[in-house]
Amino acid sequence: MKKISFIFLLIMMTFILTACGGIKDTNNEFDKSKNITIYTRDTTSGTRDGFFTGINFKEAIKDNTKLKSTYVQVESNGEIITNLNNDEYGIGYISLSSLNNSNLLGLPFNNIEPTNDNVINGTYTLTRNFNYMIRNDYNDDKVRQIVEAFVAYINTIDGKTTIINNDGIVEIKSTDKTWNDIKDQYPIISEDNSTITINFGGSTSVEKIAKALSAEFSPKAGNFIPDHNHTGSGDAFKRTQGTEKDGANMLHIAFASREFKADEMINEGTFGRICIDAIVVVVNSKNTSLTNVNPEILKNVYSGAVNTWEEIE
Amino acid sequence: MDYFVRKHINEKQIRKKIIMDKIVKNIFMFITLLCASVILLIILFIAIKGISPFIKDYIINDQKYRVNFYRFISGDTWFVAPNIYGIGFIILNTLYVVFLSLIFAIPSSVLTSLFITKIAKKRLSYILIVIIELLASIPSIVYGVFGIGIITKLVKGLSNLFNYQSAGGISTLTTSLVLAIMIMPTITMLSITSIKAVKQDIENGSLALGATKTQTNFKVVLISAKSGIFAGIILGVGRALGEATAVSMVAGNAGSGPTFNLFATTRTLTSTMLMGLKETTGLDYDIRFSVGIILIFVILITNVILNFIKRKIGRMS
Repeated sequence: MKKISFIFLLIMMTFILTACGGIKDTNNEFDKSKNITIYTRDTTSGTRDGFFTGINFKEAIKDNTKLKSTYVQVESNGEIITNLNNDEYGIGYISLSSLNNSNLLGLPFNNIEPTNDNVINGTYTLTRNFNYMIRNDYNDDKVRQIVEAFVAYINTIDGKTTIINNDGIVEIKSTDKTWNDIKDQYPIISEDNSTITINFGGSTSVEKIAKALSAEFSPKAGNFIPDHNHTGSGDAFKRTQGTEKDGANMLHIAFASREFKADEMINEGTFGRICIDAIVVVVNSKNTSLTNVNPEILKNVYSGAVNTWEEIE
Repeated sequence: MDYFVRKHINEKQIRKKIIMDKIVKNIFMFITLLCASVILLIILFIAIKGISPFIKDYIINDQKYRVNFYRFISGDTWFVAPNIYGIGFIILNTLYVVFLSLIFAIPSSVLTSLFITKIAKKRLSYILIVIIELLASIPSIVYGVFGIGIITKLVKGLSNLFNYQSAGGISTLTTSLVLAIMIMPTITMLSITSIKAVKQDIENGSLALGATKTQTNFKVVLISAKSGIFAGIILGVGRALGEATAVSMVAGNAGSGPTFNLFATTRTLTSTMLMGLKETTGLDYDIRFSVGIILIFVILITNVILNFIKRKIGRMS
């Protein structure tokens, strides 16, 4: 028995020691003959939708079988960051707002650096818009007035600051007004609205921004009750102006992390853009193989048409 | 003498007490039924949601779809748009991962419990028991973070030794190691209890026959305690099969399989349920409940089998 336990201990020790030795090995130079490991979000993710739309590989948005079969699927920006820091030979995509402090290399897209300025001036194109849609008809006129005040608030300096603080990208122009400048146009906000519930919903990607905006705006507009029920971009039109607009899940203000389709934009003036969300392709900081990506490279990498880092070059 | 005899028995009082007894009995009955019905409700809810993908039509892109059950249960690819789901390989992967984690966990937890109960000094064993109780109460997300931060690095180093390029250490091996660490406290705690319950006489008898302490520990104490140790293993298997958060962080969630390669990514039933649950609707949402039903069945069947083995082992001596 002693022998057995001794052998067991020996195996454990060698396992731990060799593993530690292995870690040191990985500090070597970047080896271009190695395989590329692709990292992706799961099929329900808005970032994934934005990424594959942006690189013109729409078949893969909802379909993992279109990807190289050895893909690794994770659930958040944070997990992609942790995993890529572990894996020199991985490639992934995250929200631009997560790039800072990630220790990863954010790659230029079509030779344009991923920065906030380039997103705003429109040269960096791996982006998606966050849009809102409001109702066309209201049961209660007070609700209509609050909703309109909210939409106006989104475009003030106050609203835009909140959006930026919550990782949205939007430009504050010199012509933008503060909420104090325009609030007199919305007399409803000086009333006590604490019995009125405003229903927010739509895209889950916009949820963070929407919640921050409503939490900030409610005290400024008579303490209305914001009720958030975010289920996906597809419900934005459906629950404000479409088939479910009078159902139990109806919404007053809905958000979409994609462009509205032609048959959804039927009522002028009921929709618009809130901000831009940029996606950036990231690799491990030791990666010396890629200095720029374009849709073609990314499609080849994600579909498995190229396997090793050498082949890209 | 009068003092010791009850003067008279008040019939009213007795009746009151009997009524009181009945009321209390009914209240207890009601509470028990309430608890039991929660389980029924959960099963009913999961069953209704989980069966609907196979019998109800879902409208996706203006066309009606439902899921083929045979393909679902035997499939080797998780999802092909719009309506082909397969979890056959996921069931195999899950069982494989749990089996591996047991191989890691059982020897170390049984040896630990033996050390704590029979070899360590009182003070030390007390400290060790406190530590193991602490381990048992650590939430799974913490194990997940530990796994993704430390164990992936170890596994990555190991795979480099074998000249195999793993996905930064995200692999079957990592998953089973994380699970092994998670179920070790469970198995250890139950083993400690069952080893403590072994009668001192048996041990003394063995020692009196001339066996050494080590011989006694392995050949007498462990054998006598095997039934309790096995109960611990059954609990551990239950925990390993049901663990979702930590697993989905280190498994890599491969889309097809089954994979038996230690360094390749894998996918378990629980991580499949968890992935994207918060952001999806319709068929893709309901199908996760179908996976839940299958998971419940897998757990039930493994428990029945393990209990059967336990009884067999218990009879052998």
